Amino acid sequence: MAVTGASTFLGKRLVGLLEEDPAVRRIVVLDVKGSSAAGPKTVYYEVDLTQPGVESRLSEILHAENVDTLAHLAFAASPTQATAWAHELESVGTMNVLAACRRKPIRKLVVSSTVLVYGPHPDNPNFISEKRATRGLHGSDFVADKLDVEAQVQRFAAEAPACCVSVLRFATILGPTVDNYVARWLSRRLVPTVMGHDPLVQLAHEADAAAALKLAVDRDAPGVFNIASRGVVPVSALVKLAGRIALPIPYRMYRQLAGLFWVAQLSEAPPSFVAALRYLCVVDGSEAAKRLGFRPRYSTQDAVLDFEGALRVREARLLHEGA
Amino acid sequence: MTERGARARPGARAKTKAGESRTRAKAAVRTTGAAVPKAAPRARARSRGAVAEQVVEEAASSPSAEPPAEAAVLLEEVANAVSSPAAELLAQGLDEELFSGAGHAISAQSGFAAVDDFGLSPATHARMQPVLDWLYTKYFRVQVAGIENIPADGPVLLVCNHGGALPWDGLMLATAVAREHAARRSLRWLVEDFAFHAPFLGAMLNRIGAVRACPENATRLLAEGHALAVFPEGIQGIGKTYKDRYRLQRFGRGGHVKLALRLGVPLIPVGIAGSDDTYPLLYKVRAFSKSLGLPFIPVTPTFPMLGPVGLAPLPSRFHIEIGAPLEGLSELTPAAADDTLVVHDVNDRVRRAVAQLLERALAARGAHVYR
Repeated sequence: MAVTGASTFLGKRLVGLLEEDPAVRRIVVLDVKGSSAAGPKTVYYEVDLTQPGVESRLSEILHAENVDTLAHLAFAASPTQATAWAHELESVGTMNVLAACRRKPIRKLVVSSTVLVYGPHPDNPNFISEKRATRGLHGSDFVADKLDVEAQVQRFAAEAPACCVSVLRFATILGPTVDNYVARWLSRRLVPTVMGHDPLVQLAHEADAAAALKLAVDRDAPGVFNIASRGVVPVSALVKLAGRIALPIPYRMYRQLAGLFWVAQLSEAPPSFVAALRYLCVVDGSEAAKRLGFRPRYSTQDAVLDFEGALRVREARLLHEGA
Repeated sequence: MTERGARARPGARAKTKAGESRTRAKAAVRTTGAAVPKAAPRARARSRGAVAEQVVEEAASSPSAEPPAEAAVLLEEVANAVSSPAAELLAQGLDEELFSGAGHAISAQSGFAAVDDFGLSPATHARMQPVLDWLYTKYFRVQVAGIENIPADGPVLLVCNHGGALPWDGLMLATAVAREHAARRSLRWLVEDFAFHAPFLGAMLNRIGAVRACPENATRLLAEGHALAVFPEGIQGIGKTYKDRYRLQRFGRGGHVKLALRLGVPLIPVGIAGSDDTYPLLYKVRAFSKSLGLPFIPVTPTFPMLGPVGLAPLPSRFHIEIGAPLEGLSELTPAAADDTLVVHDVNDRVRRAVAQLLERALAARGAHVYR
């Protein structure tokens, strides 16, 4: 069992769960830094997916460790200013990982993705199934890279039919310990929203996300799966549940401001993401329930409330009392 | 807040014992008394015990759910996983109960949710109810006939004529079913994109039961057993000028018929008199309308002359005729949904039935449209 991107949020949780799983003998961590969740079963190889020539190193490691299952999780959870680096890591990194998997055939590949590949569009149905075309988010490099990764993975699945390839499209992950652009957006005292629009939002509770990832590793279910917690919440209720105050801004003004703030590095997401506050991007998780056996234990509301609880604790600085 | 803070002390990690957390929560309330909101911590602590039991039950009943032991493991991993000092401390205090926190307790126990899957908010609906009642009884003075044709439960598809620049007909039909039907059924209705994404209006319509019109949504709503109203004329129906009022347009491409056949859902024709008089459309301006996201810019006696005030509908009287379910559908198999001719035939029959009902509704309403 090997994990790339073991220092990402999902990577750490997966390594932790694998450490506890008696069926897993050895965990090979391939990342630029070791996973803090690492235990006695974990071996760490320093692998930088953005470096040229990483493919031969990867296939050497896969050979030497005789890896049969690979979880490829080396993806940015939030949009970044360093789009060139993100492209190298996600798009080119995936190319290298997949090439290494062709060189040393593996039994199983699990790749994490995001529901943003469907994108928030005005003509989305309320629940998007896996069959729907992935249209992405216009003007977003972050989503374009994810789309490119998925295209590469589909090609790989066709080229290596013996390998069981599962792609998990996660809804925005939120919970007590997660740190991504939505968590940062929701941590603001005044949370900017689009005036007059109140689309439904769906989240994946971090525990649900981790459980789904573990299930995908454990069970051989090839294909693409939407992963989300139960239920939806309108943006306005999301902000209220998080104990914040919404700051509605007219759409066009918000786009302009978001552009300025992004350039000034004062905001957590580029202006293209404003569309997500206007139109819904909610997925149908029934395929994961049916074929992966994943049934979310939490709801979108739980995810916000758990996030809010942790946020309060962080803000009250109670954490430092016993330190 | 305080109880979570108390739990964040190093070494204070409980595994699954709800009782322990209860005492700790109480202790936290005692020590920091003044700053604590009084009811919340106690309520949370109480519900936690129940939640812990429920989680165990859930795990026992559904094989796919993560067993509790695994959840505890996960939490330990969460503790290992975070990097900032604050988050590390937070994670040390994390246990299973924080994950199944207040939100889980509330939603699991009382079925509380802000909105249902399609965005209907019972709270907003209840808040709007007096307004809807006033519109229904005083403003549009709605009369309904044949409400008993809607079954008391199970999925059903209401096929209606459409009119007026804004979808008041769907709102009034839903209000009629909620008020007059013996089972007080909640009716969902489909609205066009331009209304659904119109600022303020779309969000409000969604909170009180409207759903964006598309086959996927209709299928899912019917599969969940809802009563659903569709307006197959769509934009064509809304965009009739005043001289063409109540002239039935084409009924889409029969998507609603295919849906009903595929799911074996009864089709109920509905004629609504009144909607076409809410905005007597004199002229449609097509220029610039695309950039505003509208199918056209309506020119009525009041709009755009009076500005936003002109968006208020004229107080036309409504009469709704609900027909008997279309006969002969039960003989058709779901496979008939793929037969273009059958779909055309059924669609024609529905359209004729709606036209008849509309005639009847117009006659029943009489000559006094606004009075």
